[in-house]
Amino acid sequence: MKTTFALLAILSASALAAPPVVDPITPEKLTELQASSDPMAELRKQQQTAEKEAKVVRPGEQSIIKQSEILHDGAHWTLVPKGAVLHVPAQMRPRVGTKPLGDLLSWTDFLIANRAWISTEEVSFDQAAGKKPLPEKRVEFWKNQTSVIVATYQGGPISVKAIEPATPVATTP
Amino acid sequence: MKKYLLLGALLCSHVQAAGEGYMNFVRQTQQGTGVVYSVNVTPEGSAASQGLLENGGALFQLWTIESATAKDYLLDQKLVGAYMPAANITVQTLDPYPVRPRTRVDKPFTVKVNVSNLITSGSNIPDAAKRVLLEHHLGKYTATKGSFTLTEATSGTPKSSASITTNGTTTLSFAATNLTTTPDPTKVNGEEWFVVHALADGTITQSQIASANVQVWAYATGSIDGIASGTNIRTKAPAFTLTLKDLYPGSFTYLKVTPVSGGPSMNVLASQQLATGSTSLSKVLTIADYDYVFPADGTYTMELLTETPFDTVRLASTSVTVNRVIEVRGLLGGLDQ
Repeated sequence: MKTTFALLAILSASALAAPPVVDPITPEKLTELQASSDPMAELRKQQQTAEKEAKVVRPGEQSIIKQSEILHDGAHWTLVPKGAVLHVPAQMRPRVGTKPLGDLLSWTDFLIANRAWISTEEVSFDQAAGKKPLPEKRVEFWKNQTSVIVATYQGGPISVKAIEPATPVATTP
Repeated sequence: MKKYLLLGALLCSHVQAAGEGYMNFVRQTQQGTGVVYSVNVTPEGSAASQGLLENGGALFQLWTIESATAKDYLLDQKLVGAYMPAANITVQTLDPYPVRPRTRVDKPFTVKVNVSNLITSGSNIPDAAKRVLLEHHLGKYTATKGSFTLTEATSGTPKSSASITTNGTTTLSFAATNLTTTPDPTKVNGEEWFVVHALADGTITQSQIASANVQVWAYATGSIDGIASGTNIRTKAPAFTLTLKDLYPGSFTYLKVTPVSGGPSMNVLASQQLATGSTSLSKVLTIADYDYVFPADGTYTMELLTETPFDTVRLASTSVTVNRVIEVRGLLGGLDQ
């Protein structure tokens, strides 16, 4: 038993014996090392530009779920950008905007599983941006539908901005 | 100006961050119009965005949602545009760990920032087309916080920043970490983040065009307690403890016993610790029944060593003398009747 231990110990020691052994770095040495270079300061010097105030925007607290509309079929859920749901019939309201519960599915899988109550409406980027209105006929058509209508662009859900109503022009009698 | 954008190179390096049990989403937000377009992505691979790239650019965000908890994580984001500078950052360390760049407090690392699409000549060029801003953010781990999301790491005030006004690769060579703590600067864990921003011109909601980070681990320490230097072992070797602190992830630590007079070294098997996790390891070990490392009488050195991708460090050492010769004093005589 002792022999086995000894053999194992020798083997593990010899197999791992390789790089030279060094003593630990001291806090003073590390501080010295840290102070030895400042590449960011060097970069500022190199660029030789007047460092004017640079305006940047850093990411704040974000959540894709909070920025989305949840669709739910009782067992699964998915999410589409806020503004992508164009029409929700009264009987379908419980399935839109709920909390995420159950299994998360991709948009494509969720759509395949719920074709019975979800329809898609292909829109252009200009329509999505609110630069062009959605066709009035289609909007009227949805009103009679029992399906939830989701705006898509090349199959992917897309938000649609409502067109601001034109400011009425003052007329003189 | 309208273009299709290839998402592959942009995001594929981060997509593997989310695997089974997670669903990835790429959101494209048009900076000019605020239109949000959603693309499903597979765990690996690339795809061309079907969304248009308009003037003003688009913010691409890679999100993952944990299916079981419905918790969302922003893995990466980039702002790209037809007339917008582009950037890519890579961090190189001496640790070959493939998952993410990581290093130890005292080891050098290099940050390479590649910038393109800057306009370097001409008049009346807007500032945003002539330079980008590189920021350096630091985040220290605490007992309750052992990682940072992109947002957490880069939303605060940076440690330092500098403009880059030339296209091509800018290399920053750091001699050691920039993280520090008191009283012992070798005992800090955390992350250093590098972010390139396009200059905001008022129409964009976020200006980050590239980011990368390096994880920094503290220097290990250790001690051999309960067996004083020069201890004389006459019978069974006494039990003692090894106190190991901040062993580098992936390191191998052991107590090596070597006869001073020469001969092969042996490791105390119970002392061998492989830090298999992705974080550092601290542990106290009780060592007993190790007489097999003293095959003969003599003086032995006992070294507590830790092997890392950078070097082998002697954390502590002591020496003992083994003297097991048993002297029997007897008297031989006869009994006279």
